[in-house]
Amino acid sequence: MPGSDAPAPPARPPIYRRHQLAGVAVAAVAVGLLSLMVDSAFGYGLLHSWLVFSILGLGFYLVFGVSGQFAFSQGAFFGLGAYASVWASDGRSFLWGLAGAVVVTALVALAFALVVVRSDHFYFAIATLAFSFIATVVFREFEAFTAPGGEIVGIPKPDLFSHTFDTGRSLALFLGGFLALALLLTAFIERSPLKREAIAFRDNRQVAATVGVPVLRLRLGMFVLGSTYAGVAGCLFAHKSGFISPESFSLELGIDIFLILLLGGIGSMWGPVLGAAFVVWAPEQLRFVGEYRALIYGALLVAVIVAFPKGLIGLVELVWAQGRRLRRPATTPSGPVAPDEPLDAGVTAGAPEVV
Amino acid sequence: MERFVTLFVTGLAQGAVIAIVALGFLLIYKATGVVNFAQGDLVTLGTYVAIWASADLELPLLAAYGVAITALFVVGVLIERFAYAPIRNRSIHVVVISTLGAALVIRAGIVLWRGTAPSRLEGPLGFDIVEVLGARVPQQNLLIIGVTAVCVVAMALLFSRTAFGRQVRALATDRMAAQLQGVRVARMSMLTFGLSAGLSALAGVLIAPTRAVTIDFGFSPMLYAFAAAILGGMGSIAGVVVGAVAIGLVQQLGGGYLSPDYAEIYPFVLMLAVIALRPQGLFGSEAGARL
Repeated sequence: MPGSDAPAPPARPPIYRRHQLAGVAVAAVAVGLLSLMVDSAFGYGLLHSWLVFSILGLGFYLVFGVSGQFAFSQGAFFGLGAYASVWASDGRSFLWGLAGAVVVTALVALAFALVVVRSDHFYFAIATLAFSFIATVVFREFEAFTAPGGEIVGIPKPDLFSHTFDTGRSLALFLGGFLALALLLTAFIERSPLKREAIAFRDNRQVAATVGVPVLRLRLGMFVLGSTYAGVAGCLFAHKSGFISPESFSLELGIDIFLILLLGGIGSMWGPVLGAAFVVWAPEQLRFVGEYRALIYGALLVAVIVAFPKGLIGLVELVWAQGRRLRRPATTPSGPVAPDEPLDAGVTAGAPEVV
Repeated sequence: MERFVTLFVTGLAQGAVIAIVALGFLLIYKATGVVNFAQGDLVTLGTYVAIWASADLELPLLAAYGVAITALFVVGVLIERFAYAPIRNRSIHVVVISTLGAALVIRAGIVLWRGTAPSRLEGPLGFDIVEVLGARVPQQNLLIIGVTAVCVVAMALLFSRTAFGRQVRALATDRMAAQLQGVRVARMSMLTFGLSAGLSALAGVLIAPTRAVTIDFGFSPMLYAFAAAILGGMGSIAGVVVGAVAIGLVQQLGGGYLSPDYAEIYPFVLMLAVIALRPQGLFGSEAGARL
């Protein structure tokens, strides 16, 4: 998916040679073309889901992929964003809902991160799992905030400046705009020192703290930012589908989120976009296997981790690098791709080895 | 008072089942450093195997329990072989996600095999009630508490008195040193995965008579077991058992005296409070750095 293949000036640091911004432009154009090509309600449904889940996965990429926080809470923040947006936009415009989703998820994520700030690893993972569990119970029981049983129907389609995005195509473009913004923000993070600091924090936090990385700020910031992505995605999800219930945000969603990131490739911001496409598209293709689908899914998850740790994006990068080498045989084998390697060395594993 | 006794005994029984699941979890964690997220689905699977053995094979109940525990031992070993052994040297996160994948496979397998309709498994004592201090208490709850007590003592002896327990403790203290001293890591991890899955089956058949068995049957015991391990500081057997009992009691008493709608989440509120205020657990901890 990376964009133009024009050779970059050699003086630029490798991080800028990755064409993130061109990639965002290509992605935006691709969404635009897709929205023109699709011509069925079913196709639009898949397209909308892909766009929303891409944003959700991008947030998880920041939390888990970049800063190495093993969180199960992404699905809960997705749900929180959905409920908060419905609650805030009740009788008002969509922007109120969006603002509500952003503010509520960011505040709750910050509060939660502060509560568990002293926990690491397993403790953090279980705390986030418990948080998700609490969230589903609250969605079901706290009827002043949600609805009886947590089921809300008839959520209006999103609107902006009194224009309602109620056709499949306009909604796809609308959601695509959000994905482009999310990608853009992620691309800026990718290019900023923030990403390098986060990787340092992820791979060895003692050393990172010693060399002056603001560990606490980074950890809280990445968690809140990634969770807010989930909140925005939840807001979009609620308004695009028009119906939410606590079951929409169950444990299956949590596993799907892991699948999005791992299958797509944990080491690249394009991984979750590919992974989301797979998670949305594959179940439809696997319809013929019927009830064996979940079985295949689980086996696939294990198989990908065991055999193919870089995910789908790893495959794309491999093909890309080969293509370059074929086109420009003069370059040394360690040519245009190799300088990135030191930065990416630990990316596939996602976290420090524990011996 | 009667109400208190009923709630207390129910909470104690709940805590006892959680303690068994938590012991199984602790066993794997000590020997390999892995948190097994398939534990909950192993509880469910064990229960379904027992249902199958007693309903379809028409075995007596205790034999069905035996079949379930044995079958789950094998399943545990298989999980170790397919979801853990190939990636033993990779990041701990990868291993944990792999156990999630195993959980997904088990879950899907159960649905294919038994469908999604809720099932029932009777207890050996039926639904008999005894009076304790004037309160009516199901005998099953007393059975659960008794079996758990035996189980905990057995585990404590296993850990402290046998070569197996010594090796597990050696692995938990210093993996590499243990390996260098000749502890057979592969065999130990197979054994602990098997034993842990067997304990999950035991917990499943004990708690099954008190509720309907569905595909999500094992999930909350697993989550409570994790919380119990955190309360106990991921360390000693005693700490985990006390943590488990605390969780069972908080859930039942909180549900009985505060609001039953939120009964499920009181234990987690307690756990989050412990994580915030005393992250090493109520009784201190020796396992900090591992996941």
